[in-house]
Order: sequence, then C-alpha cells, then structure tokens
Amino acid sequence: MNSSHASALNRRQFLRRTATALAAPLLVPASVLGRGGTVAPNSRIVFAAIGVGNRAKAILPNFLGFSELQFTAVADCRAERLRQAKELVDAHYGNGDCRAYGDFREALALPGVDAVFIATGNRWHGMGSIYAARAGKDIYSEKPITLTIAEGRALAETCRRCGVVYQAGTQRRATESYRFAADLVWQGKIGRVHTVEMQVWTGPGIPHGPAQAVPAGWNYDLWLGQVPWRPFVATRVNNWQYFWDTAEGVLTDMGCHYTDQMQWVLRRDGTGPTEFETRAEFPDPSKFCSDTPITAEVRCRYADGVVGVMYQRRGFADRYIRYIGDEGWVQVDDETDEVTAEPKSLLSLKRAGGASWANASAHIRNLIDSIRSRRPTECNPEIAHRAITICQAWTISLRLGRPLRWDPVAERFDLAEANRMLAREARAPYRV
Amino acid sequence: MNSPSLPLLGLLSFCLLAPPRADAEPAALSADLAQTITAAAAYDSGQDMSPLRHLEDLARAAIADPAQRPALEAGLTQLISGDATFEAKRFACQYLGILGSAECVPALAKLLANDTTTGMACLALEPNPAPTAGEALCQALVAARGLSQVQIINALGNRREAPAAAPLARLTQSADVEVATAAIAALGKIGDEPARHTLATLPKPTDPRLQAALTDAILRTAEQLVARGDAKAAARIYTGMLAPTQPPNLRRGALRALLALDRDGGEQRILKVLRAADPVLSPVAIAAMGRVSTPGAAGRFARTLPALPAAEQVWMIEALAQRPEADARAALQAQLTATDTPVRRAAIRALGARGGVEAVAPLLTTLGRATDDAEYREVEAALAGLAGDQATDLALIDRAPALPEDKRGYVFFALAERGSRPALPLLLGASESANPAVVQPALRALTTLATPADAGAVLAKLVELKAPAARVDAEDATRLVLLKVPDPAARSALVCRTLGALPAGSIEARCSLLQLLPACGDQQALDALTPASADADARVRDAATRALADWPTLAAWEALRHIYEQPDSPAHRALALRALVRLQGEANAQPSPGLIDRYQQLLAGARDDGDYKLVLGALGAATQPEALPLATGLLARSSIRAEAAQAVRRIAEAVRATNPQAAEAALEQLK
Repeated sequence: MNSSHASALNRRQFLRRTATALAAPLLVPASVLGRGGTVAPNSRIVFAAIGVGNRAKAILPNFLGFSELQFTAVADCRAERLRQAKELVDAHYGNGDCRAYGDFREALALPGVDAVFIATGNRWHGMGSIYAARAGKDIYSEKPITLTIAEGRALAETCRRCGVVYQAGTQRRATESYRFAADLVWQGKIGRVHTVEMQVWTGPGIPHGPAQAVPAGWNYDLWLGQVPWRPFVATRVNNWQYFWDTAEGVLTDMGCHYTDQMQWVLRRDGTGPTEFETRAEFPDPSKFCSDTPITAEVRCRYADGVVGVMYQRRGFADRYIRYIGDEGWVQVDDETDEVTAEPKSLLSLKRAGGASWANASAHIRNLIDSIRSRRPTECNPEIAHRAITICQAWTISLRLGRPLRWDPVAERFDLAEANRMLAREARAPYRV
Repeated sequence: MNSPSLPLLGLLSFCLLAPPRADAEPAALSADLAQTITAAAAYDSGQDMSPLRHLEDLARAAIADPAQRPALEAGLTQLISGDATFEAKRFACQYLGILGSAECVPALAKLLANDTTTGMACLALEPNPAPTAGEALCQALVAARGLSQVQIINALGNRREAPAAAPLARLTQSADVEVATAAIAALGKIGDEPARHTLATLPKPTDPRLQAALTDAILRTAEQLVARGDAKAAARIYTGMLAPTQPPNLRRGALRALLALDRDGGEQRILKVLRAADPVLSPVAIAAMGRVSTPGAAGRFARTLPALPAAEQVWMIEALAQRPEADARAALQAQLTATDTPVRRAAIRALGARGGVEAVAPLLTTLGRATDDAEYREVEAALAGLAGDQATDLALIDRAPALPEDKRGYVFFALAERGSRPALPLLLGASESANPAVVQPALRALTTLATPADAGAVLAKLVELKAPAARVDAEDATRLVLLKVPDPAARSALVCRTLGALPAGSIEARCSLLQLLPACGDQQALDALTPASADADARVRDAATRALADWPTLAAWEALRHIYEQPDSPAHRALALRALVRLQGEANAQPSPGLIDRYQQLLAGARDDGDYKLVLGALGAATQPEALPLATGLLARSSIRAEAAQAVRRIAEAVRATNPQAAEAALEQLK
C-alpha cells in the first residue's frame, strides 16, 4: 500500500463526482497503440515548429519531453532565430536532421509532417493555423489565437472542414491551481457565481522611432504576413504586442487566458457574453506610437446577468482571476500559482503541488491523445474562438468608444460600424 | 474551362463598364477638421501622432452622431486623394473601412489602380456596404496584375461579390498560380450556383496548390449548401471526399460533415465505418457516437467492439462511458475480462465513472483477479467513484470480507474516499486481524472516516493489536484520530484512562499509549509519562523517553534535563539533549531570564564537542545580550571555536541595535 493514500483522500473524495469526471478524454497509454509500451519511430507524431522565437523556446522543451512525438523541421522568417531553433532541436535528438525553413509554407508542404506547433507573433497565429489546416496538419497554436473575430470563425470552420485537430495554447485548463478553482465553483462551494474579476498588468507606451532599413536575415514581408504594409520601425516591430495592426495589447495577450477560464468555469464554452462596455487610458500620441491601452477597465455581461470585469492596471505580478459567488469567492494568482478563497476552509480541499501554468505538458498530452483518437481537444478552435471573441469585442468597443451588444449565435454586433471591424482584409497574397 | 454562359457575360460586362457612382457633392469640412486633415497628411513614422488620434476621436463622435459622418468621410477622402504620405493614406483607409459609404468609393477606386496602394484601398472597400464598392473592385480586377490582382480577388471573395463570379471564373485559368488559387478560393466563398458550376467543371489541376485550393473551395460550397437547406447536394460532395484516394484529413472532415447531416444522428454510418475497419475513419466514427440518441444505439455500437483494434476499443469504451443506457454499462462490464490490459483498465475506469451498485460485484471480481498494483489502484479509484451512495457502500462492506486479505485494503480506501461512515464497524473489525496487510489499510482508512466520538474505539484497537508488524502504523493512525478530539484534556483523559485500565504485563500496548501522550500535551499527560521514563522495564523506559523527546512544550524540560544529566543509556541522553536544544531553539523567539538559565544548564551538562556544537546551534539564534558571554566563553576551546564564533556573530548582529557596546565587544574577541 502506498502511504500517499491518506493525504490524497480528501482531495480525491472532493473531486470524486465532479461533472468533469468524463469530460476530458481518458489517456490512452502508448502500449495500447500497438507499441508494447515503447514508441516505435514510425508511430511518432512528426511535428514542425513554426515561429521559433522566445515563446517557442519556453514551450518547445515541454514538447520535446514526449518521446512519442518528434520535431523534424523548424521555420522562422528571422535567420538567427531559425539557426538557434535548429540547434536546440538537433541537440535534443543528438543529430543534425532538423530541417530549417525561412518560409513556413515549405514546412507545411512536407508530406511527413503530421502536426505543427505555432509560436509566431499574434498576427500569424490564426492565419498560420488556417494554412496548416488546409495542408492537413494537426495544430497546437499559441494564443491569442486570432487577430479578428472573423478570423476565429474561419479558423473553427477550416479545422472542421479539413478534419484536423487543433489545440489553443491556453494551457491553464490543465493547471492544478486553476482546476481546483473550477472544481470549487462547479461544486457550488461559493454559491452562485455572479461576477468574475480579472486583472492584467499595465501596458507600456512605445516611443516613436524612425523608419529604417530591414535588418539582414529578416524576411519582413513574411513577418508582416496579413498585416497592411508599414515601414520597418524597430521600436514598433520589436513591440508588436502593443499595436492594433499586429496584436491587441495586454488586455488580449493575457486577457484571453482569463476569458478562456471564465468561459470554461461558467460552462459557456459554446457561447459568450451579450454586452460589452469599456474604458481605457491610451498612450500620449505626442510621445508614443503604440495604440493599445495603458490601463483599462472593461466589462461584459452574459444573458443571465453574470458579469465579467477585467482590470488592466498595476504590475505584471499582480494578475489574477477571482470568481465571486453569493456564498464566497476563490482566486488564482497567476504569478505565484496560489489559490485563495473565502471561506478559507475551502482551501483545505486543495492538494499540494501540481505543475504550474508554465509547464504546458498536460495540455500537450491532451493534444497528442486527440491526434490519436480524433476527439476534440480541451481548447479546440470553437472554444478558443469564443474565449478570444470577448477580448476582441472589448477592443472594438474601445476603438469605437461605446458599449456594444453582441449576438453570440449570429456573431454580430448591434452596430454596423462594429460589424465592419469583425474582419480585416488581409494583405495579399495571404487570405483566410 | 468552359466559356462563361450568357448571363455571366452580361454580369462581366456590367463589372467592366459600370463606373463607380459619385452623385453627391462632398460635405464641407469644418476649420478644425480641415486643419487636422492637413496635419495628418504629413504624418510619417517617428512623428507626433496627435493628428491621427484626433481623427480617431472624431470618428468616435461621428459614429455616435451620424450627422457628423459626411464631413469626416469627406476629410478622410481628401486625405487619400491628395499628396498625403503613405502612412496617412493607410490610416485614412482603415477608418474609411469602418465608416465609409459610397461617397469615398471613387477616391478608393483610384488607389486600386496603383500597386502600392491597392492593399490599403481593399482594406477600405472590402467592408464597405455600398454596391459601388464591389463594382469598383470588379472594374479594377481586369487591369490589375500580380499581387494587386490577388488582393482584389481576395476582397471580392470576402465580400461574396456574386457579380464577380464570371471574371473570377476566367482567372482560375491564370498562368499565375497565386492568381488562379485566389480566384478559386473566392469562388468557393461566393458559393452561388454559377460559382459552384465553375468549380465543379474546372479541369483537374496538375499543380497541387491549385488542387488543394479547389478542394477547399468545393468543400466551402458544400457548407453553404447545407446552410441553404440543400443537404442532398452537400452530401454528394462530402461522399465524394470519403474516397480512400482523398487525403486522410479531408476524409475525416467529410465523414464528420456527413454524420451531422444524417437524420439518425449518424448511427448507421458509424456502424458501417466501424464494420469496414477503416483506420482513418474509425476514430472519427467513435468520437461521434455521443451525438447518436436513437434507442438501443449503445448496444449496437458495443457489439462492434470485439472486432476493433485495441486502441479503438479503448476509445469506444470511453465513448460508451458517456452514455446513460444500461446497454452501455453492460458492454463496459463485459470488458472487465478483456485480455488486453489497456482495454481492461479503460473498462474499469469507465465503469467507475458510470456504474452504480450493480458494478460492485464485477469490480471486486476484477480486483480479485488482478495481479499488479496499478490495476488494484484502478479498481480502487473506480469503486470510490461509483454512484449509488449508501447502497453501493453497503454492497462494498458486505463483500469486502470475501476478498483475499491482501486486497481488502483497496476496498477500505475506496470506502474512505466515499466518506462511508457505515464502513466503520468493518474497519474496526479488520484492525483486529493478525495480518498487517489488513490492519494497516483499515486503520489508515479509519483516520479519514473516524470522528472524535470514535477515538476511544480506535484506541481500544491499538491496545488489542494482534499484528506486531502493524504497530507503528497503528500508532500513527491512532494519533491522527486522537488529534480530531479538539480538547487536549479530553484527549489526555482518554489515553490516561486506557493506560490505567491496562492489565499488568501489557508492555507493548503501554508503550504505544505512552507514545500518544505528546499528542495530548497537557499536564495530566506529562504526569503520566514522566514516571514511566524511570520504569523498571527497559522497553517502557525507552518508549517514555522517546515520547518525552517529542513533547511539544517546555513543560517537559525538567524531565528531559534529568535524563540528560543522569541517563540510563547514551542513546537516551542524546535523545534528551536534542529535545532540549529543540525546545530552546523554539524559545529563542520569546526571550526570558529562564532562557539563559536553561542554556547554562545545557552547557554545564555538555560532555564533548558534539554536545557543545549542538547547544551552540541553538544559542546562536538567541536574541538576548546575556547569551553573548555564554558564546564568547567557548571561544577558547579550539575544537569548537568556529561554531562558537559563528554563534557570537549571530547574537551580536541580533543585539547590536539595543546593545551596541556589548555586541562590538563580543565581535572584537573574534579578531
């Protein structure tokens, strides 16, 4: 008998009959796949990594930890990053076999590649995923998964049409602390949830900078992708997260993790809020060229009255999500992975340990299982699209300076101008 | 490619010939707006963006007040028509995309003709609801070349611009692959009858890029057919895509689409796929089982299970576990005897998630048959998860004794996880066994289920313990149960009463009870424990000394000091010294005169360097100035000078703020 039994009892008992007991597919051990517990090379899922900058460097080791998948190609429009990524993959496998492509479309054309890991800048997450789906590749894409609401709808439809499996990189659904908070809500431990409070950090202002020559080894046209052409400005390009063309700022970058959590915990994965209201402080245009908020307070309301409010304020380490019910609350602090609650007695149900959000292995495991079984992933494109739609609706509301009503079935606003912002015409030759 | 039909030619002519309309005079600009437009026209990267932000403010105001819109649109139109910078024109196009009307179309049409501005013009024209926007794009399509042409084609496709179908049909034959693929994609988005006809009659492309675009476009038209209610036509397209010659992913997508169209939820198609043993499609069919709601479907699916490969059996078991029908449970139960381990374990997990009291017997039979720990644990988790509450608990309680002794523990743990209070008699009874494999899990399960009211009964089982190998576990379990009694005095009374009632010669039981006294922690418990440290029986002395060494408070100081100074063995002296040092270390946080006295006692009793080092470890954390001389006094002993110096430094740092002179003097001795 294992001595860990006693300590796990309360937790296991607590979780015993959660509604999610069967929601997530059970894991299929490798042995059941005809490999006798070992992974035969011809059964491995072959991956290519697309966009191999800082984010990829953080997550690739999680992928490489799985012996049942293998990376055989990397792609990046920046030569130095491409070289480093090839070295990383080759070092892991102890060979020099990883192929490197300056244009990801060449990697997609490889018939031996089954799946892709996309960790480009935001502007390529959705479009790159759509290209991959059309090429018949299964997908793990970093978030935010799309630039526009229409691109998200197109992504979900393309994945369905092309019969591919897709996992969005909103990995907190597989994180112990967040699952615990979800369990408390689902078990009714804090009563009926009426408010979800979220906080992300204060955004920067990016100073003006002059146009300059594109640095050597950088395919700027491919880097831009669908984004309308603009001259190369180092401050802008290196801080692309804070420009509406290429991203949507902190509210969406981190916010989409929280809207994903909100949708999941409130069990609204197939729908969304119906009202959006926003206010924000933008950078001083005389000093800064970035156009996403520095601070903000944005709200949404579901049809049944549940309110989501996201604050963009304070420091990076101060981010959290809190579910407030009529009998208590539970909060997850993202920086520390710490769960707090009221009443405090709820915390006695929490098991110590568990991987933090920084480790995406469980989320990748879910993708691998779905690639084998063809079942939907935990963050499939429909779910991920609905979650980021909330952030994108906030952005549209901010840019139009007015509250908006949203029909989550028709996916239309109550305002013509807002509906004209659902999509952005992609720069040729790229298209969704 | 077939020639366009006559109606299509007519539309093409319309596209080519109809000029964009510009009927009304442009609205007049206010002085503020005109000034802002002039300033914005000069904007380039690196400059103050205030004029652009001001235009954004005006756009918000114009959206709120439609009366302001014509003037703003005129201003933005002026911006794209003059000598403004590229960046300024691009900005204006973004906002014309949001609020532009037919008024701005002529100016945008001019930008379409210039390769460097086609992109920004399409940015504004694609979302513009005016029919003239589509007309302008159609008109520009013919003359454009290369990426500009692709851009315009994309915009027409995104607008679902039906009149463009004819020129787009012609462009599907372009020698420029980008142009041809864009035209095919646009036709797929337009998706009306002429577009479908064009796509359906295109000669099979040899270029794989064109082939992929064509397939994607045709599948898009199938989706539109479904949306329009023409399921039959859509099904014809999807059925064609099921062919084994098609790429696997497209076959999967087509099957999923067909299943969604089937009136029976896809049951017959799923069964057909499963019987055909198609490894590409079978997983999709299994994943879709949850959508089928026809009566008896679970049973019919389950009958295909034995013929499936092992991996698919696992997936089907998991799919069946999602279904409420009795047929599904029966099928899961049948797989408990599967020879394939993953299949069998999947059935165990599935039954645990969906089964109730009826699953108790088969799961216990599986437990009885199992031969490895991983499977035992699967069964335990399944038993813990079974529905049925009390009836399931009672079934488990009833059947557990029939299991082999070494496997009963898994049922005990399952009962504990279920929070089954009725299991208490079973567990108390099991703790009387002579087999430690029964006693240990029974007592550990009791630590979860027992309440303060059960502490006496658990204590009695410790006294009556018949499995010597389980004694340490039994003491631990009893301690955990005892600690559930909130009042230390009540805990103490319980243990002391049991001690008092022990028959003479119950040495093992007495030793166990003595070990529980630190968990009581009050004076009554200490009074019971202290004399035992001098008992005539060495086993009792040992148990009592170890219990004293675990005492949580300074109340045990004198008893421990006595052992330290007059030990009956070196081991007991070492135990006592460690306990005294621990208590001193904890007392450092609350300085008192007694603290220093006690350190002096410890140092006086020290016999060798090891003793001194142990005491110095605690002394160094003291924060009273009186501790300094005790530490400096040991600096002269060369064999422990390093430890003494470390202690002096720490104490001096701690007292420096309140006693700087004493601290400095002590530190001076270190030089």
